[in-house]
Amino acid sequence: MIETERLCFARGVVLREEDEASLLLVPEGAIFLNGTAAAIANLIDGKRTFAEIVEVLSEQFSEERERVAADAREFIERLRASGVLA
Amino acid sequence: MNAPRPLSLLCELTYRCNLQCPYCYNPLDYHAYRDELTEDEWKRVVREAAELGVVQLHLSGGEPTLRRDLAGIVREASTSRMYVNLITQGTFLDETALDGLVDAGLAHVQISIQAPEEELADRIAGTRVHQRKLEAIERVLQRNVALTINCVLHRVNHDRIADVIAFAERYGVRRLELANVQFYGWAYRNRLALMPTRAQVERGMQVVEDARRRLGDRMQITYVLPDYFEEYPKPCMLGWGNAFITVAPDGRTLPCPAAAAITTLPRVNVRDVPLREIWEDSQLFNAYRGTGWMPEPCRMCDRREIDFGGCRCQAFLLTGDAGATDPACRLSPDHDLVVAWRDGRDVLPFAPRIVEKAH
Ligand code: SF4
Ligand code: SF4
Repeated sequence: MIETERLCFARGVVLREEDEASLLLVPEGAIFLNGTAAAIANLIDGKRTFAEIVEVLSEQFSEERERVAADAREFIERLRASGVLA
Repeated sequence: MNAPRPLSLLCELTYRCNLQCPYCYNPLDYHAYRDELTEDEWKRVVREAAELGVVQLHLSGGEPTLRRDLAGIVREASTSRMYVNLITQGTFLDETALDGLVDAGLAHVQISIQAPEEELADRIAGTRVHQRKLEAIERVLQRNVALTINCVLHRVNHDRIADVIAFAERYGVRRLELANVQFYGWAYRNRLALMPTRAQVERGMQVVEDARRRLGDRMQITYVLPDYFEEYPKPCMLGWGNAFITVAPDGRTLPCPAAAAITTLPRVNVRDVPLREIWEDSQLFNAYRGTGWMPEPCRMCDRREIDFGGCRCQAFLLTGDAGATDPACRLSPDHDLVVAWRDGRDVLPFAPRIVEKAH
């Protein structure tokens, strides 16, 4: 993955936040997100790059950058493989 | 038992359609559904579903764009924060119609084609419409709404998968659904003409795999194998009464669009009963909820929470008992029914769905 690429949801992907859950709505259904995944999804706005998202997250969770980056990379690669990212 | 949260509502707005696909899953007696819900009734259904926790609305038919009030229903749903998906064959998606829908908050459109080229497509559709679909596809691509091209596969067009993929590629379509025909309604009636051969299905898998490798994340290709070519059935609707609600044109409410075929279950209509009550308390939705209803071999099977015993409608159509293990499962005592039909050699001409109209 290119760390400087801006991340953006594909057309037809909607993040829905409820009191007790966050879901990604995609044409074929709904993907329930856990806390970290929801935090990442919230930061995907077409402007931030992967590196910037990791930056924000590691501050937010006061965790080491490397650890956060590994988790985020896995999640984002999964999103990309299922066509959720533009 | 406690009802889970439903996530998805399918509104079959009308069974009217100007096409005559032999694989149509609409019921044979679709004329019995002429007394369609009004715009206000559909809006009420949408609101009641939103209150139950439904996040996604699928609008289908028949051909849903034949309803002039479609945009109003879309707006009601998007105002309730629902994700709205339109399932259409595209022949009426002109500029005005499409702009109205996008403006009302439509998130996704699925347009079906019958085949990758005009002659065959129009032969399957039973009428000249392919060209109009192409125009609709181009129009949708120019708007801020997601698009999936869908092609239902069966014996007549199964060998054209590579061309369908090339078609989608030419248009720069990001999402392609290659759906093997499912045998309900008209498709069940035409099953002997439509069942692909094993050789076709195996070639199809190869073609799709090659294309996926070549295209990477440029195109998502869904290719769902027919479950009668696999060992175990599909997790139909993620379980009966577990996540999905279907409302037929006349308000009849069902756990899945094919379930109207099950004549042994009581009917319930959202015109008479609130959606919540139907979802939580109706005999219909509780009939096969969870695992308690299961017969052997499902009852002790470790896949029972994976495929939920398969499809109730298929079980009913093939065995007469909607509570039987889906015969598509190789462990089903009725599996030989599927084998006989799958491996049968008769190739019959198919009957377009309109035939019944004359009666
Ligand atoms: S399958 Fe064909 S005939 Fe049936 S509703 Fe869809 S487009 Fe119309
Ligand atoms: S026996 Fe029932 S639960 Fe087990 S795989 Fe077959 S259909 Fe599924």
